[in-house]
Amino acid sequence: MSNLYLRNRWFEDLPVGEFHVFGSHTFSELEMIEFARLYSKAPEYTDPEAARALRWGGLVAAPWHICAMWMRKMVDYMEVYAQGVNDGRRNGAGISVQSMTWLEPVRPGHTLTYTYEIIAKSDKVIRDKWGVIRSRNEAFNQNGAKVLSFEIDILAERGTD
Amino acid sequence: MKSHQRSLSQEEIIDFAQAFDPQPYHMDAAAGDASIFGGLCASGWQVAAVATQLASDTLAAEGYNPVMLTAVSEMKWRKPTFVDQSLTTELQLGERQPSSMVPGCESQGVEISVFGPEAVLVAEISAIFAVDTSQ
Repeated sequence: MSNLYLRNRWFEDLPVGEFHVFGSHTFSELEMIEFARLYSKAPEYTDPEAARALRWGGLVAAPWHICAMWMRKMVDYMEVYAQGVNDGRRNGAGISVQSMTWLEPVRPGHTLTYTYEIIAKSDKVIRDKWGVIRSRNEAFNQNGAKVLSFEIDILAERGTD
Repeated sequence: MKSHQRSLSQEEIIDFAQAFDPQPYHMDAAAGDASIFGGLCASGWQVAAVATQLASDTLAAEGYNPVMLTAVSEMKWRKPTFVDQSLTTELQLGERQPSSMVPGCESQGVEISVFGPEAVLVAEISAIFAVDTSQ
């Protein structure tokens, strides 16, 4: 029953306070460099040798790489819990982000675990069919230290009843 | 301050989406056409990364010694970014704080407006960069 319920929820059915641990990822040096070469060109992110002499004493993940992996884990999670649903219950677009901070460096071999909690639902209706869900999202490393925190507003399709 | 421009090819948009944001409207033209966006478009995270890199390049060229992005107090995705659309940013310096999570740096607030073709506002990013003031 719980699985079916999770997979078939419209905006109205999403409860404030619901909390999910939705994915983990171990960052490799290679993928960190590949991301940074395209999107965050600085030696801290692209050059392990040069990074040793820089302020983190080694290579770290680019800030947006940590967020991009958040997105990947979220999409993968929806793939499981909204399997077979191909409408706005699953593929709601993000519209804005608040209070995003990167708190600790993420180094090669670090494993991040991503969580979200629904913290607010707006009364706004967008294009006649979308509601707005605000969630607090956090990532923790393998030692339990928080490395990323932000809130995001995402569209969720409203039920047609 | 105005930045250089950068566009994202269909291949770059799809590559990023396959790695980080595998949703139909970021990977498939027909799915994009049918979506709320009205066409194949870049992941908002790809746009954010490109925009802050453009902004960081501009700050560096202007002598502000940006070290890294440490926070985004607010970011709004206003319009989709489609294939090969030129993105530019316009920067306005905000508050400077004497401390940063990065040792030896100060925090510089930067309001980044991201524009697509015909000066359409694509995104707004209130960013905080760690800037090295020792140089």
